Amino acid sequence: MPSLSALMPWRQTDEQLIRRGSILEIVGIVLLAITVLVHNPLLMVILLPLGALVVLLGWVAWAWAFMRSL
Amino acid sequence: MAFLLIAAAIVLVVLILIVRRASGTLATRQGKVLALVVLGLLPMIWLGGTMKYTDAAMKKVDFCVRCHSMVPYGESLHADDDWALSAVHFQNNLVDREKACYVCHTSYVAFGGLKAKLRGLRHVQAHYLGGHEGEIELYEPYINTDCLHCHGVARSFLEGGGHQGFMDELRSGETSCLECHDEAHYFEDEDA
Repeated sequence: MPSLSALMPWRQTDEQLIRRGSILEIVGIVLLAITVLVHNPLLMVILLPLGALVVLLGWVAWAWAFMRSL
Repeated sequence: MAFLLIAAAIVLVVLILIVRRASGTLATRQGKVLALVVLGLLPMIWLGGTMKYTDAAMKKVDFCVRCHSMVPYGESLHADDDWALSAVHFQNNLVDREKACYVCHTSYVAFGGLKAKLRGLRHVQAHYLGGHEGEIELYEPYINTDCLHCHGVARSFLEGGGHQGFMDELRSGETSCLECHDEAHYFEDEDA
């Protein structure tokens, strides 16, 4: 189990960032897809911001690696 | 639209998995372009589409009446009563029928839409966690601005209905529209 500081983007290689970022994006997309399918107000309130946040976290991880590789 | 979003999500997940498996993605120019499109642009476009779709879905009457406490209010739109405001507006097509709840219960002021969303969160909290007993009431009195947003420039309002005598009071909010138009929703049970 990596420590929290090891998860900071500047402590990870580009490959790690791409791998972890892409998994986060997939998890977020799945959460949002569930939100689209299920119009339950409670689920929407929880899953919509959570899914969006997870996708954005994954996107930041990818963007960090991308910017560093330029 | 929901079908399209789900289909796009499946395609996107497959593409992300393919890019993820390719080692040294960012080492080559082609890899960078591929990552830019698949990991950068497409998820953001899909996220934007999903947000737009869910935002529109949450404004629909169907969504509001998913909570059983709102069912009588949804039914009141179809009530055979020509005095109840909700029934009159809905049945005479004076509001977008798909978004009838949202149209009347969103304030037409700065950040009115955002405030409506925040009120929605309070509704969910009240519905699932309790904290409210008895009859459902608005959190704040209904403001005239929301009526005048549509009616304020209507000839039927300006020249009819006996509004001329106290137009200033109505526009300033000193006199509430609901003082005369006092039935917002009609419930069948009230006659029982």
